[in-house]
Amino acid sequence: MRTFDQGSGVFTLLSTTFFVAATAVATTAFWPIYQTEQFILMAAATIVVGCAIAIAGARFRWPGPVMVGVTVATYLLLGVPLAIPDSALFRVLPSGEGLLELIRAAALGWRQLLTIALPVGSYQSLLVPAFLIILVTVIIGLSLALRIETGELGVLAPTLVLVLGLAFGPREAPTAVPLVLGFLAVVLGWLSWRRWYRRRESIRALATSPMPGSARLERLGGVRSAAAAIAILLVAVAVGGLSANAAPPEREREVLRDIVDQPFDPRDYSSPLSSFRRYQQPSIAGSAMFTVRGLPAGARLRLATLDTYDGVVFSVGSDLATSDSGSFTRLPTSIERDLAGERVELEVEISGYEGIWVPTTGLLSSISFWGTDAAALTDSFFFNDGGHSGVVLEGLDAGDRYTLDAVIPAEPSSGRIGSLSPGDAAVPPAAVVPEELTVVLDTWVRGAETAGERLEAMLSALAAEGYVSHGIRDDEPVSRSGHGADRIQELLTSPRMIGDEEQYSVTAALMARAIGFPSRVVFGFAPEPLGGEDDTTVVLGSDVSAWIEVDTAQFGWVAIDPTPPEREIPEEEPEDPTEVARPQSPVPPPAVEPDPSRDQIPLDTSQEDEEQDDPFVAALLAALTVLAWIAAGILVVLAPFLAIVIAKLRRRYLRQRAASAAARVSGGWREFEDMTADYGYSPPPSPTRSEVAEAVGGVRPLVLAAVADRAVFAPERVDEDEAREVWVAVRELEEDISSSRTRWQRVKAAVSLRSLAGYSLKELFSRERRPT
Amino acid sequence: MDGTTRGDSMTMAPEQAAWFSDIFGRLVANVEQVLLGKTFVIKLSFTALLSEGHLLLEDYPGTGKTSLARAIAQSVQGTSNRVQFTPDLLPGDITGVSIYDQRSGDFEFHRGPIFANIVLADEINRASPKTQAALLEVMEEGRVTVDGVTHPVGAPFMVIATQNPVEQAGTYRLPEAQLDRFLMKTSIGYPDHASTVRILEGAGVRAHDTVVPSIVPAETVVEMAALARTVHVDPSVNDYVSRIVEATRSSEEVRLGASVRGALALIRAAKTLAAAGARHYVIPDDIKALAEPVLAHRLVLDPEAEFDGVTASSIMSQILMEVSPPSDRQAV
Repeated sequence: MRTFDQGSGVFTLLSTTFFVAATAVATTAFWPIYQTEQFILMAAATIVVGCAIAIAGARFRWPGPVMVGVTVATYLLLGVPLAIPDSALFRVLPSGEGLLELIRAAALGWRQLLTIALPVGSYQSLLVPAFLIILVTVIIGLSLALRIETGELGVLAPTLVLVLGLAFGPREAPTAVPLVLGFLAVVLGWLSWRRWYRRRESIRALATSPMPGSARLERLGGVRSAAAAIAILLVAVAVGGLSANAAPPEREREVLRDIVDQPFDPRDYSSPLSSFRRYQQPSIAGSAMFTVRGLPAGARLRLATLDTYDGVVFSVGSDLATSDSGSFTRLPTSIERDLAGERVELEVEISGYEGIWVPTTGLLSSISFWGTDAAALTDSFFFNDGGHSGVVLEGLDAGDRYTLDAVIPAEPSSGRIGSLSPGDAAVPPAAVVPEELTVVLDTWVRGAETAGERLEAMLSALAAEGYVSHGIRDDEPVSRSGHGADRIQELLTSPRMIGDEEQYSVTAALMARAIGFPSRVVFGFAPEPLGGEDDTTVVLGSDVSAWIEVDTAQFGWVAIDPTPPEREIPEEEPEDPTEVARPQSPVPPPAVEPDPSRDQIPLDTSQEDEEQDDPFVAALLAALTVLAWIAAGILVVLAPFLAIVIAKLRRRYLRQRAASAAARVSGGWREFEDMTADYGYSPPPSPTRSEVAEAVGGVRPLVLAAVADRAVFAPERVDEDEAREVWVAVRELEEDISSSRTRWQRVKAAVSLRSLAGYSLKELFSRERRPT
Repeated sequence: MDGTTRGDSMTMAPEQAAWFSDIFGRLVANVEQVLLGKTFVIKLSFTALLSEGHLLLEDYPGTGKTSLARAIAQSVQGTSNRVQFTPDLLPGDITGVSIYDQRSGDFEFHRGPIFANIVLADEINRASPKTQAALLEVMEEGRVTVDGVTHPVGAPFMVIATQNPVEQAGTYRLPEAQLDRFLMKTSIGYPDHASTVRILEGAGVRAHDTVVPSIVPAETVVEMAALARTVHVDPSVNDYVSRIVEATRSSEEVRLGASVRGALALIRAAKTLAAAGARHYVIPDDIKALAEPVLAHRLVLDPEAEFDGVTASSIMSQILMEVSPPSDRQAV
């Protein structure tokens, strides 16, 4: 079946070169995942070894089972030193433990790769998926390219590598577009060469004697292929660029790690803020939670970052928006922090504290656990880089120890809050906002011009009017725990504003959002410095605290403590409410009080609109939209094929209704000839009818050819019956030929462009001419 | 275009085509008895005969040229002569001479070997140009003029000339103008394996003793030739021939393309071949089948192309691949 020599050295060399170039370009799609030298070494070695196996297989004609065996053996032999180098003996020999890990990783490494923060380096066995993909695709792809006549199929292998690399990669991939274009260029070069080569071999095989102009034909084929490749590349860039500008993506780019469930879902746990008062209980307040060595004076220890308010609790993570704080991934090695700030190294030893939230400070760079549970704790540590909070699923217990490196970023001095402007971080919108909040806020910030000034005014108003009480000791005024909408409403409307960090942080966070600052609540400890000997700080239960962070354009997330300073709480004076300088719930005189709705900072009300919609209708609409988009996409993809089919139907219609019987006869023949061309029959160049019929084979095509010839070239007039019979014969022949083909071959023939090549558009759009 | 009158009294009728084809088939089958496995060459030979043309065979010795000429002659109840051309052959040795008869006191014309229905001129390129010219003149005019007296050679009349393609020493290459006078040039070639075995099986009989039965009288051949002229040729086919001939002139490898005489010869031969195929009209296949034997020997190749190994046959094949045959009647 082979029409040309695929075993020649030059052919193998060129095929391999193109293949390796395409694979190398595709492999760089994995770089953002690993970003380690070991990955380059692994990829290069795997491509070389894979090519060697494919070439040997092609040369010695190894059957399929042998190829599979060699591939598996290579995987086991090279997998450990290349993909799990830490488990290799003397760096080159696979160890037993390494082999087990290699086999396990082939099945489980994929998910692990998706649930870990990038880049992963050569952490554990995470290089194994990339190793497996490259090895298998190189062997299969190059074998296809070298062994089968339609070796262009080999291009699917590097394409798969590219797609997987992008799919497993990070959400932001700025290099994706140049990467894909580069890949397209290499692949088109390869396909063009392949086409040109096959054409050249066919011409040589045809011309047994030296044929005039065959060299010109070869050159022409080469030029044509190259020109077509360049044209395709240009069209791809132009159409891609235009459509990206004309219809920018409505949604963010999604990769596999967005879809895969992360192994830790903070929503499975109750909000840590709701246990705030527990730490103030006398039994716990005085006892040591943990000791910290190396904590700078004034630094706070973060447990959890809460950005989602549902009207009852502030919690971590939300499914309403792509929440930065809700997605926890493994922290493989360390996170590079190249921002300005104080670098600290903390040693933490847990004593009374229990829970999954790991006390950290600033922006974590790395963490290592010590002690008997160290391995289990390391394994179950997850980190969220958006909220800078970490958890261990095992839970921290007395005796656990760890050290962490962190950077405490520079923050603005408290006097500069007025000059801040809101940042653009995404936080889930609050589901419920207490009614009184905006009214109170409006009176507090009146006169402030900028958002920063409003924020400052709001904070100073809180400090001026608020009193702190945990409501636990007998001498403290009543202060209900919790931070639901009703509690916040109560805080803002009661004659004396009494609460503690729990209520003030939530109030401040919601008000900051109303002002325009993205905000969140941080739950943690604010220890008094110098609790123990040298620089050791003993953190007590009573050190528990909550503060807010607002996102600013200047500094990013800035921590602000909105809780008023502790001071004596005045006696309740209900008879003289004016003492408390804050708005009364009765509506003030309209002449003095402007319409609140006018000056009020506009709140996002879209959410309320959504709630009013029937969820079923909304879901139905969403499903219909998705279906419509899918249908439109399918239509766009199928449009060229539909156009071909329609053009052919139109052509047939015109032929059947030609003006004269003779023209209908020759039209019938042409219809048959075009069908044979679409089915891949190749008569000699410039064929006569009988030559076409001979290429198809059988007597009936020959008879049809003779009838058509007589209609065209004989002196007699053709009658209508003859034309009808010819069309009947054409239909029968079509059925004969198509019934002997597979469905796929029939579809291919239906959308084939071969027969349309010589048919002019002008003819296609011409008006039919009926016989007079 | 369909409404025009397309039949006339000068056009062959389908029944006549069938009759023609029947006799043609029998003639070919008859000659095939002595020239095994060479149907195409035999068909070409009869096509040449019935087109009133002459045939040039470029062949090695011992391929059956004499047997072909003899069998054709016997099939049509005609006479055949064979002339071996040598450098010292004189024109009179072919046409015949006038010899003085002492008894009557008159010059009496003694007919040369050219006076036969089928004349085999063996190794024509060995004779001197003068002798070649004498032969070609007879071929063109169909008569011999000696001493002012014209003697018609008779009808049918066909010269089958041969050339040896290998030996070039002591030969006079036929000038292009004279090559043009041959309707076709082809070669018999060696028989294939099976035919060779069959020939060897009948080796007891001397080839020259083989006699094939006659099929038709010589007059019928003349009648058939006249009938073949009436085969219908569609204008689109004439256009096709014209495009082929033009292509030979515009080809880079050709110094001198086919002449109008070549185009006419192609149409004439195609008419005969169409009738032989029981058709009263010519189709492009007839033109394609005859283009190479009729036109190739009329091309003068560019010396550079010739040096590269390009042959007239390969140029004709290339042209037939490039010039597309008509598939529709030409718009009137």
